[in-house]
Amino acid sequence: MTTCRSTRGDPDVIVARRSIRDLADDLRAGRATARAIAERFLEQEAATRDTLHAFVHVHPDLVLADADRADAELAAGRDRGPLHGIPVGIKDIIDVAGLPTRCGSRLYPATPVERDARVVSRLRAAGAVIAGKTTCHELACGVVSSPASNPWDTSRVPGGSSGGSGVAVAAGLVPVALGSDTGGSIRIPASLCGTVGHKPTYGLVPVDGSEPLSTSLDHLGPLGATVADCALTLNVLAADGVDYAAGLDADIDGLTIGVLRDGPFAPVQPDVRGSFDAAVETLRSVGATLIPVSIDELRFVLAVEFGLIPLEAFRYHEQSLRERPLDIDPAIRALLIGGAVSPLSIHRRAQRARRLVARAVLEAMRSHRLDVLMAPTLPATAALQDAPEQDIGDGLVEHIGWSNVRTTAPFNVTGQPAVSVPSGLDAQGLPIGIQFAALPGHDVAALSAAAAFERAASVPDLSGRNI
Amino acid sequence: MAEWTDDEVERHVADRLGRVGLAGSAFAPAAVTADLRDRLSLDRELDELIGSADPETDSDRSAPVDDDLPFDPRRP
Repeated sequence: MTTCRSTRGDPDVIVARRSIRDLADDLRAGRATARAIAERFLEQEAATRDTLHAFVHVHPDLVLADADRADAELAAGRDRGPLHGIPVGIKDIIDVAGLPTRCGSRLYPATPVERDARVVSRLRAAGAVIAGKTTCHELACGVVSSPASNPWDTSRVPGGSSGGSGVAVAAGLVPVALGSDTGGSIRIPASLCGTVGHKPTYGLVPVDGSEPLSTSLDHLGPLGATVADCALTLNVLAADGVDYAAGLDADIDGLTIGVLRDGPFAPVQPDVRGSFDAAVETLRSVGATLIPVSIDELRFVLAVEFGLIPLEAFRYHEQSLRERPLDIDPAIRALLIGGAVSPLSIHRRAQRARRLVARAVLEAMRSHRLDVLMAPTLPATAALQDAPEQDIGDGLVEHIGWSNVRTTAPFNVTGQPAVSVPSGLDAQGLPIGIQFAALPGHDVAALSAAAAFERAASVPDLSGRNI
Repeated sequence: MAEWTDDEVERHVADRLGRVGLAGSAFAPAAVTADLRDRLSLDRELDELIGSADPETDSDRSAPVDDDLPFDPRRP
């Protein structure tokens, strides 16, 4: 077990990072109960609430009821699998019966919803304890997730839009939390908070019962303390009979990895480049074959991404925009209005371009016989709160809404599975991530590559770094 | 897509805001105009990939095109 001194604002809070497998072993060996784990979660969530703001809704009675049910079943010999008795955070765009869904927005009521989203139903059927709703950026449309703070340095953002999920996992409040990813919203907080984050293949995980941003790009998936935690959770979320955790211990020898360094993946901060280069060498040293790959069509990714989102978001939020426009953040309001006034041809052209980009990436992977692609998850580490721009280096200053998306959106556009895994720390001690993307439907390959890197690199050191 | 002049963008915004019935201080045309200029600029980047034709007015629009189908990442 490693520990992470979690906050600058409250340095006495030291929280444990435990994997699902560790906790599951403890539960079955009688070293812990689901209730004890749930009580520990409730204590730590309360202790970090004013500094980290990882959760927006926690209902202790519901949490303890789930935990007691899990304990009773285990005692009766009914074991629902690895997530049985494990607390899981749920991004506050995903419905949980008995809790409100507010999407970080004033538009949504504080009244509890009555039904679980399908992914939550699946988690409950697997015996998971629903810990509560995690903070997200308003309408899942942004990379700040205020008021959540980065556990590595509370003066910095955790990323978004699934920021609270990244915080909750990084701080050790829960081993896994659900997020959504339309342009990077799982992988961005995963990278900035030093956790693993998996955006599954488009369409693999059902999205019903969650609030959409852009239906042609939206994905649900897990953020976890380890790759195995994400894979075990994906088994439950996808429920398609595939064991996504089965190949995680496979030897990396013989794996062929395409290395993406240009297009939207450059420039990046010098420390990010250094960490990425070191990751390439680590993988080479354990037997992987690494091939530089350039896919010119990827430079059109942001034109595609931002050609699709406004119209799709406007269509969903049109009534709110008409009736309560001042209850929407001005930047998000502008995006929605953009969807209303833009020529329809922009969306149609983006659809057409998307297919060409996706075909080009698939063709590059097949022609080079690549198992996975590898790229920096983000160009930069966590930005300061209230700093809309950040220095990338070489004189480039980018708005975080741009820099935080240009390296993640490619795999939303292509619909490929992509896993972000910690690769190191920058000079300020902030986490850096790399991502592995596989062919669509080959989530196992992306997870296996990430697990192999996680095993070979043993980074970052999360033990008690007091920033 | 052909480049629009600033006047054309402003006229388009005013026309569209009126047509979709979005009026009031929350829908100030000036802010929308700036946003749409950025959006059109991004869209023009796609000319290099897909050409400058507007799919809305393509002569082959009467034929079924895969743009209308849900995106399948396995068979894009």
